[in-house]
Amino acid sequence: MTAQDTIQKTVDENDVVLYMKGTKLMPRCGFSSKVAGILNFMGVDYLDVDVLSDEEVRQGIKEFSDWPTIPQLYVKGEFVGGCDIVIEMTLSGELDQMLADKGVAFDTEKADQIRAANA
Amino acid sequence: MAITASDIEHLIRAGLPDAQIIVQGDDGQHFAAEVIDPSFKGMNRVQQQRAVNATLKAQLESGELHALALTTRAPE
Repeated sequence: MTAQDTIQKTVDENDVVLYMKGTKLMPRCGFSSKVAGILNFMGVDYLDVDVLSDEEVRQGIKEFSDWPTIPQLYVKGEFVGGCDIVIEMTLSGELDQMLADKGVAFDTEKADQIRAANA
Repeated sequence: MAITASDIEHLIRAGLPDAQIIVQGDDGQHFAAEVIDPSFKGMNRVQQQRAVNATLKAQLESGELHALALTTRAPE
């Protein structure tokens, strides 16, 4: 299986996947830790894939989504965006909308707290 | 010599000649860019940022440009 097949399988089989540097408990890059932090705080259940532990996935993911940077968030197989986009969507409420539309559980109160803290 | 804000502006402008581009950052590593381009009308954020990333592909892949916080939108 090529890296592309592995990635396709992973994003198909898991509702929410975050390709990141490090893990959700031990992020190893500022941008990755921001996105993981948001998802952790909002109680989203997601699979964290540490691209630092697999060079093939690290390069493969950039080809897969035609997106040059890490982290990369996928919801129900769809590429949502990198750190900037996820933050913007969180603050605008679009992330709540997308998760709700796709039937992904999260804590709306916590999402509101993030927005309040960044207002 | 580390990449500069004006290098980034020129690279983006080469790919998006009509865009309004503001690039900040003077530590040679971390930059923030705002790009407003008519072609972004009707595009979602991922597509808009893909267009900007495409103009900086070599620098992003070589790691010369590591941290670029992007905000993009179509003109009102």
